[in-house]
Amino acid sequence: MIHQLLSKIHAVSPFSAASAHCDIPCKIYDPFSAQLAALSVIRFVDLLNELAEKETLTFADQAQMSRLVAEKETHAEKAKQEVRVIWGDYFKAPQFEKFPDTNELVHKIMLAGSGCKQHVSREKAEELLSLVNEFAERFWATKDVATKKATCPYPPSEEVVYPDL
Amino acid sequence: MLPSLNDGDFVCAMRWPFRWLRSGQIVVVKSSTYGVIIKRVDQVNTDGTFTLMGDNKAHSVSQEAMGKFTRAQLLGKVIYHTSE
Repeated sequence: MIHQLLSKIHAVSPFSAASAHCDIPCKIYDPFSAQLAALSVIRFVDLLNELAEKETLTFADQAQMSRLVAEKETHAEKAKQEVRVIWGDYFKAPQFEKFPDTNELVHKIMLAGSGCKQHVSREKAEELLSLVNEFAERFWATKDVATKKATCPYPPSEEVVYPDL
Repeated sequence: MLPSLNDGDFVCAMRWPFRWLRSGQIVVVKSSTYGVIIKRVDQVNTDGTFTLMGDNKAHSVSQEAMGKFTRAQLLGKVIYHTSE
């Protein structure tokens, strides 16, 4: 009865709300989307390098090259964005205390991502993946989740950090 | 805060002196990250800070994510609540 009465009052003159379970701003955080994006960048670089080996490019090859360059750009930016979101929204004082050089690592990832956009370079793409893997390892460590490394079962068949759940 | 509190419950909270804060009390706190939240006190520290926990262990925001709170963030202690 009291609840019904309070509900009626609340409908007319709302009480302040307090949240006990956060649906927002809490999000599901997982660095794997950044890792997938970095893997994709390596793959696009490999496909671009295959095209580069051809003596002449047909019209179809040139169209394919345009698509690959566009997707490399998009996925390098995606890797940067996914890391930025976890760094900005998930990492708080306790996580920074545990890993005080996180800001430096994230900045390196930003630079590596830009490098991948600006160049068609396997080396730069591998560097991006390596840094994102390091970030992923750190992220899982903040949740006390052990990680393992395994070669992803699809091209470019590179080593990826996975949570050992 | 299930099973203690349900979505839609009404609570009455009153201002509460920090020195009366005890582990296990349900309090209303102003979080810079999560807004106004209602949680259970876990630990009260001598340096004027305290930590919170949720009763719904499986789905609560972790203590690490919430971090420590200061006395200035304590809005009040729940003294009454009613469910539907």
